[in-house]
Amino acid sequence: MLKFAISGVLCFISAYLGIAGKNYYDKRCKYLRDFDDFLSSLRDGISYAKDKLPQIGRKFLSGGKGAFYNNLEEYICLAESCNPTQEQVNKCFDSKYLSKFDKVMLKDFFFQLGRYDYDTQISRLDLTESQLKKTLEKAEKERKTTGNLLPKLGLVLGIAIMIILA
Amino acid sequence: MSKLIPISLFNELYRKVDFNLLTEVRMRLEKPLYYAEAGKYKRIDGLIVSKDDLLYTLGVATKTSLYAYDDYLAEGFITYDGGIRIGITGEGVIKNGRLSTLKNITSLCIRIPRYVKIHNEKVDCLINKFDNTLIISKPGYGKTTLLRYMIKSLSDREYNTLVLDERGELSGVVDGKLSIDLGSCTDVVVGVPKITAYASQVRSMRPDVIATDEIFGEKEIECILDCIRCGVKVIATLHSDEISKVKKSPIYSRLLSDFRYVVSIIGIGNIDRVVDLRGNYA
Repeated sequence: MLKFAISGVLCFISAYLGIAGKNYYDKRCKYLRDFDDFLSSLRDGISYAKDKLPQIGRKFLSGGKGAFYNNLEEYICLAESCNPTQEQVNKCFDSKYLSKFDKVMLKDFFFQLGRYDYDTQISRLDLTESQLKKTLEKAEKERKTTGNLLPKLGLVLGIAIMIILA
Repeated sequence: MSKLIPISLFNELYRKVDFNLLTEVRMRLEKPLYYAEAGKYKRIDGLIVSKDDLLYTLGVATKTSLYAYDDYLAEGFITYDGGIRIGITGEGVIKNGRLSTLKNITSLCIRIPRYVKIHNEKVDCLINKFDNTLIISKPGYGKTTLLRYMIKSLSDREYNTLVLDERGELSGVVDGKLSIDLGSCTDVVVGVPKITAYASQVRSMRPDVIATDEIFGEKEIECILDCIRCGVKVIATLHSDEISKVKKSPIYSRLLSDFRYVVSIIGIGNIDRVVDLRGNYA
């Protein structure tokens, strides 16, 4: 009976880890998609009315929720009150859903944001957008393959553990 | 103001200065911090301004949005909350044959605007018998302060007063909000080149009075004289230390034919004299 209970718990844990893994890939994709949306809204704000960063940020923040929005809100608060340092920006975008490469891209982009004249700012925006496009494609692919595989794998592994223990 | 200056400089400044009297702070790269208290310059020894300090102030002043300030940087100033004007010097960047922005900033001059109620018989008399008025003085002697006081006084007497505030300094408009009360009958045009604003706004806003700061150049004089011809009264300021120099200038002397009063000032709220160009000294 005890063996049966233990194997049940281990099966549950294994399946849960698989779902958590899928969740990571889903959230990473959403984070990067939200960042992409923000870049579009930033381009509109900068190009059309030359709106200031806090205004563009606040407008964007009113339209959604999620990990990127939380991080962006933290950054916008900083931009409103002071001139954020690299350390402060790093802290804002230290999300657990991002890979090391993603973090570097975001931290660099947000640290440099608003520190250039119009033309340079737009060309940096172009660069980040093209980088993000590749990253997002890769992330979507990983979500579809590894992300979808993990829950199944977790469940199969759990059942295998149950069978072995039984 | 507390946000604008890096904390290390601000703490020292806070210890030494009465913020009610602070009118200017000057930050120069690798030089001591200077400030003006009630118009008098003082320096804080041992407090050297670094490049990071300048960049910090610039970042805060532009709300981390330097791209939105290209045109202002090319003009050599930006306006911050509350009408604080920050004069900037640095290395010019020329693009397509025109100055597009500044880089390697070396000095910032932070000027804090004040609405000062001026108790002066000559000024009261000017407002009661209001006519086209030219205010002259050297820079920093209180032309803008007097102009602001006159705008509010005329507006409170229900003159439709149109303020052409190209730099946002008179009204302290930042992000669409007026931070200095210029009266209930005042309309403010901010950020529009004055030459454009004279023609368009006289037609659309039907002002009784137009107020403008720091007249500069022949084109603007043409516009002002046109407004006066249309029957609109004008109050304007001009950099000049005495009326005789205005008279000698081939460009600016043209103003004297249509302005009635010339006010020369020698300090904030301190009127040297008011000349009635129709013959009388007030």
